[in-house]
Amino acid sequence: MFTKHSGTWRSSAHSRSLSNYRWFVALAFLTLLLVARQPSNAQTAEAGQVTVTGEPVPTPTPHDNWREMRQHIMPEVSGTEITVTKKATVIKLNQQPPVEDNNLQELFTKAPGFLITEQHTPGQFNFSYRGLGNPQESEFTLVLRDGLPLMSDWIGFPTLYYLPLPQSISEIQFIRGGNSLLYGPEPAPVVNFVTKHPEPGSPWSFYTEQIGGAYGYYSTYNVIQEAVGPLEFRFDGGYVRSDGQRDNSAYDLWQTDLYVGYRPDEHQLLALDFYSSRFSGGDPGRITYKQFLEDQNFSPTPYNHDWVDRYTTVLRYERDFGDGWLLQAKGWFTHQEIDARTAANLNPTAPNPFPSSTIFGYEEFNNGGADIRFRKLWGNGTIFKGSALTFGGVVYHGDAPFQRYTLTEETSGPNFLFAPRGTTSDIIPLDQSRTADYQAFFIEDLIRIGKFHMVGSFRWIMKTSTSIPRTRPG
Amino acid sequence: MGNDFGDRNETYFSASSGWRPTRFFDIAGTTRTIAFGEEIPDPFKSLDFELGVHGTPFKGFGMTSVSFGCYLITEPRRKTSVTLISSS
Repeated sequence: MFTKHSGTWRSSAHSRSLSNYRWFVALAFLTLLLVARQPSNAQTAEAGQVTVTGEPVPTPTPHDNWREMRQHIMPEVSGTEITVTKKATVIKLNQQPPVEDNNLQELFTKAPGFLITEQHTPGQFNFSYRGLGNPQESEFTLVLRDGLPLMSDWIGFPTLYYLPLPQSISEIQFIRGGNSLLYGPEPAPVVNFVTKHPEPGSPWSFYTEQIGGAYGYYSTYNVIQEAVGPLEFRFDGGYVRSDGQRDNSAYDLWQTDLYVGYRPDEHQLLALDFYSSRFSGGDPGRITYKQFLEDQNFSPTPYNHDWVDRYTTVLRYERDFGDGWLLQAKGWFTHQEIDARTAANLNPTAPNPFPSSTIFGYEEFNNGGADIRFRKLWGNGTIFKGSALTFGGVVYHGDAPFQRYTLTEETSGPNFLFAPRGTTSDIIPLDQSRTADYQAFFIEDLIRIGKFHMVGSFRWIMKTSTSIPRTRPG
Repeated sequence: MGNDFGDRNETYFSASSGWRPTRFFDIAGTTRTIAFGEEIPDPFKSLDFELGVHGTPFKGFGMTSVSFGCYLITEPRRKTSVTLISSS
């Protein structure tokens, strides 16, 4: 009883306390409402009404405007290329730090299946795909710049002795299956370096980059460009040097790119590109594992040297005729020289460890051609919406004379192992005149039926010839 | 051929043939030249198949490709061939 009574009293006292609290809260809330309803003395201004409207931006195909996909996959129809139904990777170099000092592993880190056999100096490049073929000089892959071959000779000597500096490249495209039908010979993949060009309407700008590092590394890269009016311009120049980690692995590399474009209207572009490169570097030679353990910097060929010069001129014309028609035409000419001074390894156990002769080889490549492609988008407004047709042709010719001279102390003096570039002798073990021709026509059609699509491709090789009219091998 | 499914995805299958032309060194190397009457080697041939899926299943996650490829390259002179099946 006592407990219950006591509890009842306490309950009544607590109820009264809550009742007072509710009255206090209600009074405060009413006061706030009255204050809030008082007219304000502050000045107010009304902004003018703004109406924003929008509408979808038309794209070549309804599947091309996915920003996320475009970060790592090529557009399904890109210019005159159809890459849908193929594995087509794109590496956008503005998404990763600048790649320095011949670090190709880092450059291609987003290209699975693409294997790189590293070289001491950037005077020769060794790529292969999925382990197929000999990676030496990348003879089993096709490497392009803006759709044109970077190989020494596209047909007769498909080797890679030149790559543009990564700073001058906007993206690297990898097109696997079906690449032969897009670009010509060589098994998959096609590796296409896309050159940086100024965006139309961009003002004058200047960019410079100076980088130093270990082993005497220094790199400078500089750009000036504009595209304010119909006349567009870009010039970049780079110089890279390094003492190299091993003995006789120092190199110097100069490169420049010039671009001049003219847009008479928004549907046309007439452009000239000129690329130049000069490389000079030592060839330290190969060592055994035992030699590596003894001295990893040892060079068995401290007198061997390589030179690679390459100059390319590209004239191109692009026109959008409307109604889905696009024309891309290119004509190009390349001059390349690969010179090498090559002698046998040192023989430390012999009384005279130095070889008694050296070979000076001079390979020259003069080649060029024309590549014309059309694209027609079709099927809009029908069940075939998003379909595209491309077709075109290419004509190519190359000359590649090759001479080798043997230098000895008798022919070239006591310093014959370090004879300067251009040295010759009367001993000519090799003298070849080599030519190559290639002509092809291709047609490719993308047919879309709703979400299903198929691509039929056909490339007709009209002519391929490799000939050596004059040869004198040893 | 291919098929779009879901949002921003594509399954695809491709079969293509390629070739590698006869090089200068296949005719005349630095130490040897094919004699008159000797057969000049045919070009290398390649055949590859790809079956895969690529796209962006959801925002922020992109697949370059999940593919299985079969690549065959044949070198006529040595009468050998290499077949590789791989995925990436």
